[in-house]
Amino acid sequence: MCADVILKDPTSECTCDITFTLDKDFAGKVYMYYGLTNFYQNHRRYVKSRDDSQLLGRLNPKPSSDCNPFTTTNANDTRAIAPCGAIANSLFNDEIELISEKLGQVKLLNTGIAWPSDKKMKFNNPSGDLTEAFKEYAKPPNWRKNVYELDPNNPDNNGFENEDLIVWMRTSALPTFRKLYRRVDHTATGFVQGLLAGNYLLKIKYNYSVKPFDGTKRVILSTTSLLGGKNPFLGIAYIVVGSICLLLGVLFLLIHIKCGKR
Amino acid sequence: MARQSRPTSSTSTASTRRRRGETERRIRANDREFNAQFHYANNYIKTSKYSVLTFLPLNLFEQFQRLANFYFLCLLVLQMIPAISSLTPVTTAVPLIGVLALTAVKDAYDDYQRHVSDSQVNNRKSLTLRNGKLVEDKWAQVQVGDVIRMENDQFVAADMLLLSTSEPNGLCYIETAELDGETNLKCRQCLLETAEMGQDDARIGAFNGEILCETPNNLLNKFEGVLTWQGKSYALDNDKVVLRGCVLRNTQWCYGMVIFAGKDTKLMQNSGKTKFKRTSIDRLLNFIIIGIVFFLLSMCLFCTIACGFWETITGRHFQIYLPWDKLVPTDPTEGATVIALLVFFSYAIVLNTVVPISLYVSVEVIRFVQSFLINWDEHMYHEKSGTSAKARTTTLNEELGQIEYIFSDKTGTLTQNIMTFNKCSIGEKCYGDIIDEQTGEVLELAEGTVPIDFSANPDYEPEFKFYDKSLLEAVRRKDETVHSFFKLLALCHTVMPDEKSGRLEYQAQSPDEAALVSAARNFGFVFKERSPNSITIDVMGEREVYELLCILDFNNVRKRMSVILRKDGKLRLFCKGADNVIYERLKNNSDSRKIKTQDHLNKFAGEGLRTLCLAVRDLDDDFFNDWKNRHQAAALSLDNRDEKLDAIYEEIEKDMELLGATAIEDKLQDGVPQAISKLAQAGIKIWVLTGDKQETAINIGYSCQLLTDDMAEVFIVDAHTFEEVELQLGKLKDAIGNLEKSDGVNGGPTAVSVVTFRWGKEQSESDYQHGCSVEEPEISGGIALVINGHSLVHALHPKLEKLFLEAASQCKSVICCRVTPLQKAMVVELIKKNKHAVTLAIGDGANDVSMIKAAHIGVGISGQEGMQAVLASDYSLPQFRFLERLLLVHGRWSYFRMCKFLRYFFYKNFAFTLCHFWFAFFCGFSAQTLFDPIFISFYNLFYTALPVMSLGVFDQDVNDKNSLSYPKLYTPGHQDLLFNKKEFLKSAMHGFFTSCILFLVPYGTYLDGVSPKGHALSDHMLFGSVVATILIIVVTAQIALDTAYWTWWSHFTIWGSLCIYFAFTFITNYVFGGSYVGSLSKAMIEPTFWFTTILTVTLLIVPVLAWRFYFVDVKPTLSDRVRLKQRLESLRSRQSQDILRTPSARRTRRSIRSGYAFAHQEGFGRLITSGKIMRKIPRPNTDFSFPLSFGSTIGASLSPRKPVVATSSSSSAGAFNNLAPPEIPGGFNEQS
Repeated sequence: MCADVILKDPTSECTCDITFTLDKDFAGKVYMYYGLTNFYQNHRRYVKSRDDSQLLGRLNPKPSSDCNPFTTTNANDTRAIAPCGAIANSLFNDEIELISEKLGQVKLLNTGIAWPSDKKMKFNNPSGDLTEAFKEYAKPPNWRKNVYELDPNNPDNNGFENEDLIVWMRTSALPTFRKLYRRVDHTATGFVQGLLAGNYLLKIKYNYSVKPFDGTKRVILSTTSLLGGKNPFLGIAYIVVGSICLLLGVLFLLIHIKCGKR
Repeated sequence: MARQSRPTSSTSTASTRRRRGETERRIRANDREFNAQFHYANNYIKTSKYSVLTFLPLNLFEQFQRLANFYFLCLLVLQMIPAISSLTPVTTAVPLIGVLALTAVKDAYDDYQRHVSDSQVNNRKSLTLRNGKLVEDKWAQVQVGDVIRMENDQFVAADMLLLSTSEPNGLCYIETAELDGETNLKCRQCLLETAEMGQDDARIGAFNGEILCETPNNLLNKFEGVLTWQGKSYALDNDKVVLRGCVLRNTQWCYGMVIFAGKDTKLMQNSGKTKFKRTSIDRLLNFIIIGIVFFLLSMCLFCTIACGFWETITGRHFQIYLPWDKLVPTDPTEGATVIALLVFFSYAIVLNTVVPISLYVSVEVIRFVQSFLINWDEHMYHEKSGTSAKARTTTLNEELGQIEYIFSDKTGTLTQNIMTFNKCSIGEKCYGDIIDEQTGEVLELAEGTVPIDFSANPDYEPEFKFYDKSLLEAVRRKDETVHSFFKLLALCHTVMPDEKSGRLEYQAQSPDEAALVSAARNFGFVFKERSPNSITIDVMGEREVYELLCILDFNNVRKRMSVILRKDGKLRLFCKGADNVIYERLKNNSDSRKIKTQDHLNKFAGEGLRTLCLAVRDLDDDFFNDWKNRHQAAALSLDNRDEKLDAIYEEIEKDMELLGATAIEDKLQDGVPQAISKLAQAGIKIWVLTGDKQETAINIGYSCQLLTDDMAEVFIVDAHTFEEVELQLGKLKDAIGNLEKSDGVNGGPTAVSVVTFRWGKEQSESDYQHGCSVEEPEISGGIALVINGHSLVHALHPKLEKLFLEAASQCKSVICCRVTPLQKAMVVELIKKNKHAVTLAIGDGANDVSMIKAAHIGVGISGQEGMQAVLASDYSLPQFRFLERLLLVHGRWSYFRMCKFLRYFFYKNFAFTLCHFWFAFFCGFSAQTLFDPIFISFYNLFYTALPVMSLGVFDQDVNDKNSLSYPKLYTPGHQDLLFNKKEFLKSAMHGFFTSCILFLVPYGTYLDGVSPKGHALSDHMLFGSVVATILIIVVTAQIALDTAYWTWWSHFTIWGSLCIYFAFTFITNYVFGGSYVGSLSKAMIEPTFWFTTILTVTLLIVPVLAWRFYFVDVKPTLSDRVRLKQRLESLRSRQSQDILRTPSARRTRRSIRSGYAFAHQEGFGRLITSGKIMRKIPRPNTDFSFPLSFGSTIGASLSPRKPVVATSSSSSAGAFNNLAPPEIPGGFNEQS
């Protein structure tokens, strides 16, 4: 298993292929999420371990101490880490490809996955050439790429403004969570209607280790509705609460008729 | 002498606080050096606590002694430590500093006030003798041993030995209202030897007497000391001492030597320590908060343990992404333990909002504003005196809604201390009612009724009011009986005339006498002057001089006084006294006048008036001379003199002819009976504690409805010894026991409630039936207790305490008479200690100060002369009747509001804080907060503070009118029904479940939440914002539900808070770049949020609604019903407003009871006949004049126990004054 391979040597490459079948068409826009379990993005020390000022592009040789121990790489290399902190360091870095049996490679978009507000207000690149700007800064220890090389295909999607980073930096509320990974490009032929039924292959370049803490990784393909993804909770809750209210209404009507003559 | 051998009861109980080391006090007059060696306190008075320099440290020290402040200080320190800090220190620092600053400002203001009043008192001017010259000095600079000159109507600066006075024989008159509340004049006399110095400053300046006396103590009626001067020793007693706080009256000047100054004075020693008063809610709150702290600690402990487990199981392995801090050991178990221990403190910080610091601030602010509502209440404004109610302490308001016992002073509090000549019966005819000329019906006194115009009489007093014209007509007709009647009033008394700025004024020992003499004066029978043996009156402008042969003075046993006068050779005895006493001594014929007058007396008594019967007897010379001789013999006898004299008096006061009766109204303050009956209906027990005589006290008890005729018994305890008191109390207990048995159902407190409800309904019906024939509700269960001060001494003894308490607390009303200030306080303490009831003491004089301070709440009557009571009080009212509104409206509201406030406050904080606890289960017990730190700081400060504050200030379940008409609404406060541990638990549980739902519903909806655009919505910031927003909405909806009384302010604050929440969230994030930027707006543009919100709010509000509906519908409280009625009324308010008329102030009393009008002790009789208080020697042209004798009587004054007969005077000129009993100058102001 890839997990074990990575555990032994984090730098080794391992690809994992998973086939699955869609029984029916996924009509509408399809989103691809990665899900992690038992991953405590909401731990106090984790949540605070970031430097918002740095992420706004105000690079500082001494990042906030909140980022400890991921402020500087090690005792020898006193360069500050950018982006610093445990959150950035643990950026999810598996690379997932979706291949349709019939139509071949499914084109996935890696933009538009972060909140526009985040992109606009919380993450800014330092001005000027990114490579130049980040010259004096080290990449987080876990990372395989530099921050300015995150998306080789799209120069605008690099640095702090990289959407994968932005998505990741929005820490999840619960230890089981999913994050938007890619959008299916529905402009490509064959995908205009959505994702058609059939066999698919997930090709995962396995970089991210979850085994040590008994975590799991998932890939989720989902369409959305007005209320978002598939979630039966609201519906059930509404039905239950509605019936209780109705019952209470009748009950109190009876009580009022019987005892309320005062 | 029996009178003097009676125990001076008050002195034996009062504790004597002795200064350490000082066993006696030695003072030398006019010798500062000598006195300085003893370091006696000077006359400087300091009640303030801080100075400019000591303010900050002392005040901070005091403030941190409050548990809450200290707790938050600890929290603040914890938050400074980075490894622990789960929240920025600002969240605690800002509110803590705010609280400290606010309290400090308030304390500073209070202390400033004290400084001002101190310096005002300290800077009063007094004339001090320095080296034989009078120097104007400040009070504060007066030293022990100084000699001071005081002038008329001035306050006495310190406790002083009288040296000389302007009045003859070294007499001086003082009013001691500030000290003991008695407004009658008291007489003090200095040593004759010192009196000789007169106002010769040089001589007095050279006075070098040395005093050896007792140490400072609080006994007002006792002083012991010896004056050594010019080689002779003189005994000093209380009679030669004037105390600080007294006012000099009718005395031009006097000189005195300071014995006790400043804090050593009896006034200050009696004032007791100011205790910091706290309400029972405060105490409960402290208890609850300690409970909450324990709850908090156990939550922290739970999280600690859970965290330890989590770190060992998961966290340890999660280190690849989240390494442990450097200071944590790398060993898994050790590391987990250290982290877990640190998390304990982190959670203490995160969860500290269950004990919100803003609670204390809010409570203080609410009380403060409530106090202003009391101050601004125009229904408690007294126009006549121009004063309004004032909350002097702002921290006790809600306790006003829980009062169970009211201890009231009488004079000046219940009564106005004004006696008015109201009605009279003369020769079978009753005067005083206003009769409607057409119908012949008796009219009620109304505002517009015009009093008779007396201005034809040059000596008339404009303030005298009488409405029945027929009496004046009878006087003008020269009706013989009417004339005799008024002549008697003008002659038979011991009043002293006094000329003040050209106007004749009377100085009487009792206001009753003054009222009678002034009535005669206005009707044209003006008492002009008296000499030891003559009385001069003006009858319709003509001068008449009567030879005064004898004064048969008043005392408690005789209950009457007589004078024997001669005019134009005719001897006549004039007598006035209690009706039963007079009737026994009337001529033995069945006169119709007797019957008619008796009817009138009953009528007067029924109206609560104090009555006196007047009678005359013509004497012949032989009989009188014979009697006079025997009288003299009796007066000279050495044993049983009093009894013998009484027997002699008995001989002459018989076969009298009835003239009529007077009816004096001891004017109650307006609305006192109504207020008392309302308060009684509210389940409050009212005790009257008065320094007055038993009779007066009972009389007032009746007129203010404390005692009623349908009471089974008015039980009087007046024994002098421990055993007797025990016996009497035992009997009382038996009586109560019997009554309860016979009454069966009606016994016990439930009966009262039944009764009062009926009474409430009956009001309107009995209005026109006038009470007499209407069956009174059966309150007959009640027993009233009247206990005398000297019996109280024993009753308050630790052994009898329990018995007394048991008996007294079952009585419907209790009246304690002749009690000392300290006893008043002791009674209050007794109830406070043993009944655990909330007590209120109300009084107007300095004698009430100790009681006011002892009680949970002290109320002072303002607008009177003395300010001591007001200064010591927590609330001041211009009139007693406002107490009704203060308690039943403001007190009840305050209590209601405070309880509601607290319930809601705990609810909202539990709902808020526990969300973090639920979140702990998902964040690895890492003390991560669910909410934005800014939200946490602002939640209690801005988002939820205002609506609950407005609830705490303005909410009301029923309006003031209904609060007053349904006094029963007051009772929940007695049982702490609105806020107690159970109610707190309910609120806490409510908050607990609220937080649970608040967390779980969004958890359900946002677990895998994505937006239609595919963005994941399950991030921490968005989730926190969603929960926070729903929390605000729910909590605001809850306050809207709780608000029973909507004002524009409630609307403003409730909607305002919602707006503020959104506005602040926007501003902090978008303008100041908060890290939560975009989270809430992202959530709110998604329908998921709205569906979740509606679901959560429904889930949380519907059960509350259902719960309330059920209770209001099925088990409505009185408050619910009144509110319903109120709502219905307001719907048809334009229809006729039914005005609930309160029963007439003077409800007719059925029983035949005499309230006879002699409120004073023995009169000036002896002094008058001895001529001691006469300034002017009678004019020589009167044939019965004789030289005044000083020497012998003065000899007596020094040794009052030895009867000395004024032999020298009797031998001279055959004067009659030797008929007077031997001189006991100190006797007439004796206390018991």
